[in-house]
Amino acid sequence: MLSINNLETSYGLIKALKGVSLDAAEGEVTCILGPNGAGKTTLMFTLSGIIKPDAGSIDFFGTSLTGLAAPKVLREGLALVPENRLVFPLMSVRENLLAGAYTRNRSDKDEVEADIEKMFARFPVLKERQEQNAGTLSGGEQQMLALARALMSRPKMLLLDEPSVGLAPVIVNEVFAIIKQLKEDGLSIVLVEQNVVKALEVADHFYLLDQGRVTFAGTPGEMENDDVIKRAYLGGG
Amino acid sequence: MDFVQTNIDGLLAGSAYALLALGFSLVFGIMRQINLAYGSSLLVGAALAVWLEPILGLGVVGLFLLTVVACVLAGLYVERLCFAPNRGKTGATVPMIASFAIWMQLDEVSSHLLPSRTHNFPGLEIPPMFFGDLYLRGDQIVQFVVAFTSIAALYYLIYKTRFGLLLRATAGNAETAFLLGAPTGRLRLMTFLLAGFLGGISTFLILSADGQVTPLFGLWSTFKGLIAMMIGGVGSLPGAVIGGLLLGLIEAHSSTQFGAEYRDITTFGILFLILIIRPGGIMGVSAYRTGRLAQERI
Repeated sequence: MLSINNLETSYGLIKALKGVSLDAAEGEVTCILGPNGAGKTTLMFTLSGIIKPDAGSIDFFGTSLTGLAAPKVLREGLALVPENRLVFPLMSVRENLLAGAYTRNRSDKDEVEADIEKMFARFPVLKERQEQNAGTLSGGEQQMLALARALMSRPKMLLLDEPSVGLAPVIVNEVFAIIKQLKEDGLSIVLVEQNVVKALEVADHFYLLDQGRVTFAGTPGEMENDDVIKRAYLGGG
Repeated sequence: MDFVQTNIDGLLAGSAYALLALGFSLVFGIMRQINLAYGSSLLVGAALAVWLEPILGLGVVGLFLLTVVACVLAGLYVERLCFAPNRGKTGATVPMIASFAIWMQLDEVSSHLLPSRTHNFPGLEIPPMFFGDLYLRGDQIVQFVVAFTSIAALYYLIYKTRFGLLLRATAGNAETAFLLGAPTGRLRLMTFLLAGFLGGISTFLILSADGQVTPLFGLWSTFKGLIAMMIGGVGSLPGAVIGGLLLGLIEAHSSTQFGAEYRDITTFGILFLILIIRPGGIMGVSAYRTGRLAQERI
């Protein structure tokens, strides 16, 4: 499991995370909600080793990830699907998947090929377009590719940064159906989302992040019972 | 017959331009940065090689190896000094300006290594070949064969190996490649070494065909490489090859048609037209368009 304690991260003089503590349990979907500028993406970047924290600790299945660079974090089994997909546009779908398997041993070649076939079974549209450049895919297809690419490293836990951003409602439903499937397959997921209704459908636990601090932690049921939060995040009431 | 001969001459010269353009294009393609010190790093490599060769007494093969090694080392020097410290922090401008300063520095070092200005550069002594009226210089044929073997090897490396896959991933999006575990810092360094290696080969081929090296070679190779890259398409590897060959053809034809003194003005005129009709170069447009389409989707 992932355990974060008092994490602080800053960009120059601006403190984006002001002591964030949270836990994400094995086999669950942990959701992080919050308005723009709350520090959600900063948290994802700090967890995955793109930015180094100023203070605090990150513990992942008994190993400290604090201050490790991205390649090492990935090798420990924590993979980030960045916001906006960021597929390699001039490389084919298949090559994108191969790039995702970079941290695996060269001797795993057959297994990597087998995993690519598994991804094609899970995301049939990628199979159809395997030789096409990723830049020619639609937004939804790119999101599927980014997910599949991250899965190619065989992570223990997946960090998903706003997988529904900029996608049509029908496609958003598809993305969340896949998140549910991955959860049923036993993958642990930390999900950052703005689409609160959708996020709460799949979340086991959730945290509210505001201005670099955790302001609420609980289960979706507990949120339904909290009028203030319900009004702020679900609207109505 | 003259027309065929001119085309042959142009393609033979163009093969060396193609290698020079590949050196610029590799660095630009992977890092989105122009290495202005590239030509002068090749000059200092050549100057070191002709300075060391008589001391070590290794002959032409030794001179070839010395040139390649010295150009790779010069590339390493430029990367460590200009590009590595500014990685990602300062944008593309600071490393480019720094590489301009290194250009001046390396040119100065080279002119001290070549005090007589024009220094003999031993060539390959291969007899010319005749096919009817066609005349083919032996060393230029070697130049063509070596250049295209290098280009084929580079193609294989970039498009068929794991290393090439990572290099292209880093070119597409360095931060994401890093997230997937790619050692992006090392890949950038490798790009410079690879550019130095290709540059070393082209330097030897060009200088041994000329039979001499002067301190002007740095500026000359920067010009030829950059122009070939701009014609073919900035940052595109196939574009660099096409641009190099076209530059050779343009120069050969303008020399025979209008005389040597109009060679460069014709080249610049054609470059001007290409940049108006297809900004980004011949192969640059498609790459640019796909990239932008991908951006728009996001």
